[in-house]
Formats: sequence, C-alpha cells, structure tokens
Amino acid sequence: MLNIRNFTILTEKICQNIRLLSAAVPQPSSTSNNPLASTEVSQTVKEDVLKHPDYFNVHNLFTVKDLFEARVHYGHREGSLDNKMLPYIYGSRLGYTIFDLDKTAEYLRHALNIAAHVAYRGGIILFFMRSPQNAHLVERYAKECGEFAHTRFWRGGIFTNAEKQFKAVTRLPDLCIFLNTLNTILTQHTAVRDSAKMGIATIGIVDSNCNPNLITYPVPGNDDTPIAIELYCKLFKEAILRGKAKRKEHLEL
Amino acid sequence: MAGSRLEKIGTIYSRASGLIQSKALNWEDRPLWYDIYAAFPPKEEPRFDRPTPNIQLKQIFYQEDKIRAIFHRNNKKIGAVHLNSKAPSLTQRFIETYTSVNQQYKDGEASEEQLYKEAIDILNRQRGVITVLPAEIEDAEEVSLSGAFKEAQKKQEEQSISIKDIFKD
Amino acid sequence: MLRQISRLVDPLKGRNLSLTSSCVESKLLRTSQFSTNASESNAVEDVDTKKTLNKAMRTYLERAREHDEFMKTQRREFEIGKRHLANMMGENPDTFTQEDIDNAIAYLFPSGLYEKKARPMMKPPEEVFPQRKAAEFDETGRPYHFLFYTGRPNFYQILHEAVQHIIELNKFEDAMIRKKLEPDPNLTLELSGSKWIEKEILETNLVETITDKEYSSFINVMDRLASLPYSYRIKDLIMQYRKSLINQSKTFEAIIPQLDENGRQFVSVYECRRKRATASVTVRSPGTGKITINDLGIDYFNGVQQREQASVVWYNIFDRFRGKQQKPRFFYCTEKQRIIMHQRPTHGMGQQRTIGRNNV
Repeated sequence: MLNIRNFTILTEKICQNIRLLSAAVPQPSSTSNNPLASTEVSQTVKEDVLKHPDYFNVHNLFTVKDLFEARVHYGHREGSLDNKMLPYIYGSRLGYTIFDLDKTAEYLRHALNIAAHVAYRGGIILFFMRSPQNAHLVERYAKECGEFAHTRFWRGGIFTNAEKQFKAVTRLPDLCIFLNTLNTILTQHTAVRDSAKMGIATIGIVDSNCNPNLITYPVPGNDDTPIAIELYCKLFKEAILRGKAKRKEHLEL
Repeated sequence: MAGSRLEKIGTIYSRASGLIQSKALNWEDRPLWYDIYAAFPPKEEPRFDRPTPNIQLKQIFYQEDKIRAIFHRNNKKIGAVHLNSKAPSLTQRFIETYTSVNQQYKDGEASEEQLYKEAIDILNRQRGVITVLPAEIEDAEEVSLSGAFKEAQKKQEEQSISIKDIFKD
Repeated sequence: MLRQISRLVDPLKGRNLSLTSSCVESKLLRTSQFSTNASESNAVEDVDTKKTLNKAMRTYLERAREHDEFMKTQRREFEIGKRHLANMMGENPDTFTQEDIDNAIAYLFPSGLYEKKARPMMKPPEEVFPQRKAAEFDETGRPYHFLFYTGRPNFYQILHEAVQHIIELNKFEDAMIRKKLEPDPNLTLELSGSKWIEKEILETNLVETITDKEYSSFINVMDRLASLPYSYRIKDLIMQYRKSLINQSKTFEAIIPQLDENGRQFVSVYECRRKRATASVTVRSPGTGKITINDLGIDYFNGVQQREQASVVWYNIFDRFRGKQQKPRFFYCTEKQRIIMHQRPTHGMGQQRTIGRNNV
C-alpha cells in the first residue's frame, strides 16, 4: 500500500515539474467514496494542493515596483530601530531606515501563500490593526473577504479565556494577520503573544521598531502609511478569495 | 486537548509536534495550519529566544551626494519640493548639469568651485531670468510675506477701486 | 479550541457529556480510538472530528433554539391572558392596549408595596425576560458576524457604520463644494431637544454590556457624525440614537374663552377636585372683581387664610392666562356644598378644619 503511494507521489512530482507554474487543478483522485464530500475536501486533494509550490499563483499579485510606490520600504528612524530587524533592513538613508524590498517581496509572497492555503482549508482568519487612521480600512477589507477583524482595544482573555469571554465554547482563529504588531502605546500587541500561547499561526507586518520573533511569518515593511496598508489589505484579500474559490470548486467536485 | 501555552519555548510547530508525538493530541485534531507549516516553513524559526543577529546597519550614500552637498551648502533656501510631480527638482537638475560640465573637462582638471560656478550659470540661463549670483537665487525663490503684501497693494492701486464709489448708491 | 476537543461521544457506549464546563476537563480525556495510518482512515476520522465539532456547536445551537421556543410559548400565554383579562374587565379584547392591562392589574391586584417593580404586573415577555443573542456561529464554529472576536460585535458595528457614513458624507461635501453648492440651512439637524441615549438603554438594545470608555467613544463618534454639515442625509440613523428630553408640550395652550348671551367672554372649568371636594369655576371678562362662592361672597370661607388663598390664587392664575394685570372678576361654586361643609378633618392633622382650602 505504502509503496504504491510513494510511486504515485513520485509520478505526480515528475508531472508537476514538467508543468509550468500554473494553477492547474490536480484531479482529485478520490479513492474512497467520501460521505462528507460536500463539507470537507478529501485529504488526498489537500495533500496535492500543498505539494505545489505556488498553487494559488500569489507571486503574480504584486511587483517590487508596487511595493516601492506604496512606500513599503520606509522604516522609522535609526533611533527606534529594533536590532532583531537588522537582517531585513537594506540600510539607513540620512537617519531613516530603508527596508530591502527584495527580501520583503519574498516574505510577502510566502505569507500570501500561507493565507491562501489557510483560506482554502476553511480556516478562520483574524485581521488586527491598532492604528485608528487605518482601522476602518482594515475592517472593510476583512468584511469584504468574509473574514474577521479586530481593530479595537484588546480585552485580555479573548484567546486565553475564550469560554468565559464569549459565554460559549468558541472556535479560535486559525490564522492571525497583524497589519501592525504594535499597539497605540508602541508596545507589542498582546494578541501576538496570546496567539503564540494558544498555538495560532500568525502573519505580521513588522516595521523597523517591531520584534519579529514571535510571529510565525513576518513580513518586514512599512505599517504606518495608509497607502501601504491598503496595498497589504488588497493583496491578502485577493489571496484569501483565491483560496476560498478553489475550496468551493473542490467541494463541488 | 492538551494545549501548550508556553510561547517562550520553541515554536508553535515544535510544540504541536511534541503534543502529537506524545499522543496528548490526536493527529486528526491537529491545528489547521500544521500541514501548511510543514509544507511551507518560515525562513527563520519563530522562536521567542532567537538570537539578535550581529549585523551592522550600513549608511546609504550615493556618488551624487557629494554634488548635493556642494549645492545645498551654498544655497540654504531652495524652496519646497513637489513630491508628486514627475519633473526633476532643482537639485536634480543641478546634479545633471554638474555631471555634464564635469564630463566636458578631463579628470581632475577643473576644481570644485569652477565646476560649481559653471553649473550654476547654465542653470540660470535655462531659467531665462536675470543672470544672478548664487546668493540671489535664494531671494528669487523665496516667498516672503512682506513682498507678497506689497505686490497685492500695488495691484489694488492699479485697479483704483475706491470704496466710496461702491457705496455711493 | 474545538478542533482539538477530544471526542465526547463514545460510539460504543453512546454517552453524551454535557458540554458547558466539562469541556475543559474532557479536553484532557484520552479517546479510545486513534489511528496510526492517517491516509487510510482519514475519511472516517474527518467524520469523527466533524462530529465532535458539530456536537459542541449543536448543543449551543440547541440552547439558543430552546430559548426561542420558550419566548414563543410565553408570548402565546401572554396573548391568551390578555384576552381573558379583557373579558373580565368587560372590554373589547381586540382593542385592549398595554395601558389598559396595567390599569386592570392595578385594579384587580392593588398593592401598597413601595418598590414598583415588586408589584404584580403583566407585561409582554420581551420586557420581562432578558433578551439573549441568537446563535452566533454556525456548525463548523465559524462566527456569523465579522466583528465577533471583539466581544461586542453589535456595538462595534455601530461605530464601523458611523465611520463609513462620516467618510461618505465628507465625500459628498467635497462634491458639493466642487459644484459650489451649500447645504440647505432649513434642513440642518435639530438636536437641541434631545440627547444621546443612555448607556443602559444602549446595552439593552444591543444585548451587550458596554464599558464607560466604550460608551464615551460612542458619544464622540456620534457627535462627530451629527456635527457634519450634511448630516441631515442620515437623519433617521442619528435620531435612532437620540432620546427626546421634552415630554410635555412645548406650548401652553390657553383655554379659549366662550361668549355668553351678553357678549362677554367666559371660561368654565368643571370637576376641579381636592380631596373629597369638587367645584366648578367660571371666570368672566370683562368683569367687576366680584367673587361669589355658592351664592355667598368671600364670606363663604370662615377662615382668613382660606379667604386670602381664594382671592390670591385666582389673581395669579388670571395673570398667567391673560398676561395682563387684571383683578379676578367673580366665580361661583355649585355642587356638593353639603359635602364641603361637612368634610372631616384629615387624618392626624388635628382640629384644624380644612374646608375650602384649594377646593375651588
């Protein structure tokens, strides 16, 4: 049984290598008559989707020029630089830190891929934004892609004491996307630590004054400019919608 | 399920794997992102105690910065730069003229001062106004409140509007 | 987390554990069945995971449904009770309003309790039983409201919509300025007679608790929204959150005087009561300043205090009615003379006779 499986995996890998990077649908080889075909994608299909390096084509969503024009490369001043961010900083121009956009692009594509996969598996995604200037924008985009947003004061026990907070057994998010990791008093958002505690994967836009250690998939970049935030929102929304569309397609098969 | 709320130990993946291995957590109850993490792990492990890298922050400088320094040293007040326009700013134009003048001379023949003067002359000629010395460029570009008021007064006198006439009827 | 709750239903024994607080404990229970060959029995296990997930959700949904059912039965009982009550009181059951119900209950079950809320009452079930929220998430655990994880989705939805309106109104204002138009001053929102609804009322409307900070931020947002020049475009939304301060009528409606056969104006008010005394009063204008009570003059009253009061009260009232300095003309009492004369002194007030005091 296992040998046959390995063989099939091998043949698939060969096929995929021949195929160009396109989001061609691998035919779901549903070996068993899955009674839950309507509510859950079969495991084999899920595994096939994971094998593809960029199943949802997220690398086409943006270019480095888009990042430049959205001013993603602007960091804060040298004085507020967190040393853990140094690997992602290109340098400092007259006191202002500048992000290395090649690296940012790489990390961002990685993060978008993750978000798309989570959406594909029907995960709950929670957006965080603690800057009042951009909070409404983030809430709007979260609503549009059918996911959730939290741009308000973080009440301590939402993740860690969920049953008492919501007065019922609640399902916690599977992915938290922080569009800025600092709160209004420039300390790390409690939800970063709480997600790490509760074992929730996180994606976070880390600016030059942030600590990227606890974030699973950090994306170094500007988190203050509205135009940069809008760009991130658009990209994540697009990735999530692609993931959901594929999920719907596979559920109907 | 047995959870592990120790965010300072390992990563979420290592802790989840540990739980599964020790059978405290069922394989089918594993987190949704578990397979995704396994397939696409992050570039750096999201450990709380990841050591700070020992990298120097390098300063970004360009060759043109020397020219910029000369220009701005001699002209303190240039005026505001329109960030959204595609047209080159005054500093940009100066750099272009300076480099073109520099190319005309052989290497090292002309001094900085000489080059600077020539570049300034070219710029002024381009502007088509009075050939002014560098020191006077700043006055022309500067918008002063008293100057604007005087101009406005002059305009009014030219139009010769008398308030008495307006209120005659 | 639900996906990580171990199975609560042992398929062999068919036990159902209650989910509310034992969820935490049951998380630590090991299940009887776990597979090592993931690919083979994954289909089956997906079903089982879904089962446990659904079980938890289903219990929650059931509770929500039970509450709805309960409210429905209460409503039905209330309606039936209302009709019975109407029959008892001899009224038409179809036109029996809540006010009538209150009066009927007060009549049938008179209570001297000081706490009004402790008195017998018959109110619709929505007012009596605290409202609960309908199921907030579906069977997979996915919440319906996009702000669910804030803990107060309804409240923050209001703020979200208010900000949306602010943005739209600003855009509209910009467009108007470009067209060189100005807002119509007649349409500006009139907010002087009202105030923003109180925190408690907001809490009951939203079925959520709100902290003081959140309430003050709500007030700030609404003030900002109402202060925009084109806020009249969303008048209804704003008025929804306003409570009018003035309950009585703004204008004081004076009684319109009638004309008698001599062409003189007069005003008559009947059934003026004080304790057990009744009087009817007629004021004529233009008059002579004469006061007549039961065919007698001011001497009808024995006490000087009563006489003073009779003359002074009418003087003041007259001024208010007409706005001019006028002497009171005359008035007379008609009925229940005997009752007035023989009125007993009030309980514990001593020997002082209280006839005639303010009974005109």
